[in-house]
Amino acid sequence: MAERQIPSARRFKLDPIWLAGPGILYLILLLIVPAAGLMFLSFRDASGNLSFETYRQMFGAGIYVQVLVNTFSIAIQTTIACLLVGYPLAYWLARMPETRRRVVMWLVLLPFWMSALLKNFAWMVLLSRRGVLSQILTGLGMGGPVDLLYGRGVVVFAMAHTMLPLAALTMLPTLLSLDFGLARAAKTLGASGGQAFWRVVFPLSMPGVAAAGLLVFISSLGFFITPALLGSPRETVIGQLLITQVQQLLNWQLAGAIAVMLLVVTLAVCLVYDRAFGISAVSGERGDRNSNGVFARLGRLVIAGLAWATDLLAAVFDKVPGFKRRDWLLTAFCVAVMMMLLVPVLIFVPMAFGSSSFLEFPPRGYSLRWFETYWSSPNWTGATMRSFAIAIVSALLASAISSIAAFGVARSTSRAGNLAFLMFMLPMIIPNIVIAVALFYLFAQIGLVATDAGIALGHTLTALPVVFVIILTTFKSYDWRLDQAAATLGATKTDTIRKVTWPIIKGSVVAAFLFGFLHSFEELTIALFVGGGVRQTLPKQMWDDVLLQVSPTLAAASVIILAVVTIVFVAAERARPR
Amino acid sequence: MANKFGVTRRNLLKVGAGAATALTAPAIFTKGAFGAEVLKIQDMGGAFEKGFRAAFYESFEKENNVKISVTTNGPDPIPQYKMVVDTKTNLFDVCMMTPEHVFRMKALGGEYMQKLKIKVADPENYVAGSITDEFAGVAVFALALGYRKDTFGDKGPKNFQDFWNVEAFKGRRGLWRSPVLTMELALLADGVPMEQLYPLDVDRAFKSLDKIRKHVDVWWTTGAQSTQLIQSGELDLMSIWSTRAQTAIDDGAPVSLAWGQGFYNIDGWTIPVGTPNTELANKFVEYCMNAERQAKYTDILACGPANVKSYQYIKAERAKLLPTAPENVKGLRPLNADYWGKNQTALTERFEKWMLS
Repeated sequence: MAERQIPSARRFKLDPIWLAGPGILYLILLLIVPAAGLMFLSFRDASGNLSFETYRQMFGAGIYVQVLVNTFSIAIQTTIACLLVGYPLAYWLARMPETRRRVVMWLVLLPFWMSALLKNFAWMVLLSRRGVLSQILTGLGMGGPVDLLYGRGVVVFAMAHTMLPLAALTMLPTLLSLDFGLARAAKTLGASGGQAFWRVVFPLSMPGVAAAGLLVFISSLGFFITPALLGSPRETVIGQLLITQVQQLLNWQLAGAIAVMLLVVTLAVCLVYDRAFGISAVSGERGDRNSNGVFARLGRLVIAGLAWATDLLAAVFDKVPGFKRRDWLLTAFCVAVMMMLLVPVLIFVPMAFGSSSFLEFPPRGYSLRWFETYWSSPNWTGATMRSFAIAIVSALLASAISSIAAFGVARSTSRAGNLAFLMFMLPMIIPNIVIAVALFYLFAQIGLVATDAGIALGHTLTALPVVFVIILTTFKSYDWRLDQAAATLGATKTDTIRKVTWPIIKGSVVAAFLFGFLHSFEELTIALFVGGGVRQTLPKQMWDDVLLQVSPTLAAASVIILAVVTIVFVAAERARPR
Repeated sequence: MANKFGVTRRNLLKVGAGAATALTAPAIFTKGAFGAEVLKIQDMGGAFEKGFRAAFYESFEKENNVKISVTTNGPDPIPQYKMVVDTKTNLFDVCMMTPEHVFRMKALGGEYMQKLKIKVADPENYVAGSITDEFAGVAVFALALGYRKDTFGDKGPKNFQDFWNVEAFKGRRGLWRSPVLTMELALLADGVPMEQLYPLDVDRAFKSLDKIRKHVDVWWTTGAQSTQLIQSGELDLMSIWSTRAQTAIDDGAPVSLAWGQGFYNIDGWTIPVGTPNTELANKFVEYCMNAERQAKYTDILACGPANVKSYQYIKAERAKLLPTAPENVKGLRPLNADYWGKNQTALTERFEKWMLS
């Protein structure tokens, strides 16, 4: 689709890649410099001399390594769960007619933009020993109250629940671009259904699966909300330790060392990934690699085994009456998954209108008292105002930087385009908790800690990948011959931009702005560190409330957030060009 | 097509803008609506705010023609307090802390809390540790043993030896995920008398914890979580702050507190360095150091007044639920802020290591 302009030889011209300059400068100043500073700090002692004391302390104490192992095993389990459930979901979405897919995608994405904090709290209420699910299970004769919370199982479940939309969404482009005619061809040539799927469709969709796996894995590494709220001590993760070190003990050397350890391991994972799949697969581009190594052969063996098992299962099912047609199985599974995604979001509505002083489901009576508490509390209204202001500023900044850069990268013919793309993806590849600690460290030195500007700058940084990708996609499919046509017809450069380019890309810039807004509006980690407890955003206020009060005011606030997010999200999806 | 969707989009954006305006409206109306001087107070929120409003805020506002605006402390007030003073953000003029917080603030070095300039009429009536140079205690709360009455009936556990007795008292257990006081409880359970606890025999405490660990289902970390756990019946018996348990009891949950053994801590006022309202702040703190006024919050907030003379003004029925009531305070000792100020970091590391092992 993307038609590249033939480079004109008329006169020397700067490659448009330079337009990515401001964005790259921003990333260097706010991400690379502070991360490097934190790294250097960890190699110094209290008086500033070079020393490995911090690392000796870290590895000597034992608990940090143990916690790192925890963090990794939880992240891997979450990734596996997400891929197993997300693949059928993405496959189902890909086979759907375009118009219906858009509607269903909204339903998948809506819970994604709701804060993880809320969803986890909903699980605390729903899965408690005397909660709804436990009562249902008891009623079914499972005997006694059922203990579901505070263990590895529920942590992995809740984290996978949070990441599932991300996984499905990342796999979707690959599945969409896949030619399902190939499967039909395989069948014509005598392959069974199982063989056609495992030997043809599945290998072709691997880049998407790998990209989803990487993204989910990295996001899981920096995640601390779920283990803190739903886990037992055995689920302690690195994020919790970082918060303790920075906020309670004010031990910067150790915090730096922990962050560096996490960063190094993450980058190592990315490197391995790049060797195996090529990092650009994250953006949905496919790298074709054929190899005959041990792993490739092993992989083909596994696939052959899976195909055989599927055929066997199908043969068994064929014997069962009424199971001749099985298409509905996938639909039923996906509908169940989607209901599961929406449940914790929706239960906040009745809880917010409850009259008890606790979050209970189902609520005992109905009242508006918690909304009144919300409106009349300067803590809550102040935090809401601040969140709106910060979200608007960071979304504006992020879309401005990204629009210019995306234009540059899309028009560039230089190899630096790939590098610029990677740079913009960095905030997604580095765990957000490391970014937050590094920013806090930088801002503490230049007086930006505990300021709204500091939080907005941080949110701009982490919003860049999403905003950039949305705009870049549009520029890549933009037909530049339209510009040439306009020029031929006598339009000036400004006229072309105003009357031709802008109307076409406007929708996606608006959408990018709104997604940037949503990102900031929901962001907790950076607000937690950079806000310094003085500048409360709405998610930070909710985090405090979860730790301190757990009053239904929280549910009232959640309903308001749900409303805002839904409105913005619908607006953003509508704005996106189709 | 673009046109059609453009219209829809604009409408949606209008709705969004409308919602935003609606959201911001209340804040505009509440902020500085009156010309009066404003005193910014930060307390623990929830029942604290309501109780203090009835006992102190309302009458102080009227008598002095000032307006009091209230914000809530975070889970750990120290980082915020430090940030407020360091960045000269006037977030509050008076802030609620505990003696342990004061101790930790002082350990940071630097000037963070002002010396109070107040006169207390009857210092002899105050619980030990309530009044220091920077701190004026008003409300006492205790870590004690909470249990579900629907599980144990009348035969509830009385002390932490009972808590450790997993045969006689069957149920899901919870303890605080902190060495602070959990170590003390473990030693009490192992038979160490209250008077001989300090300095703590740390090894013996961990041995005692080893015995109970596989019966502890939840190690709670925050106050809110502890209330939720006992209120929802997720746990049957646990160590819990008295105020947190009382919140569940007041809501009708079948929960009871055993006062046989426990430790108390004090919430009180401090004034940060750099507030423009030092004089008014001191006036307010002094106003709160009054037996009759402190008695007034006990109907709403289940803290014991730091001034024990307050019990003259409290109904006997309510008094028996409060930590500083003569019958309850017998089994309680103050939290040793001095010991924990010195040993918390090292013991926390060892405790966490034990947790993960």
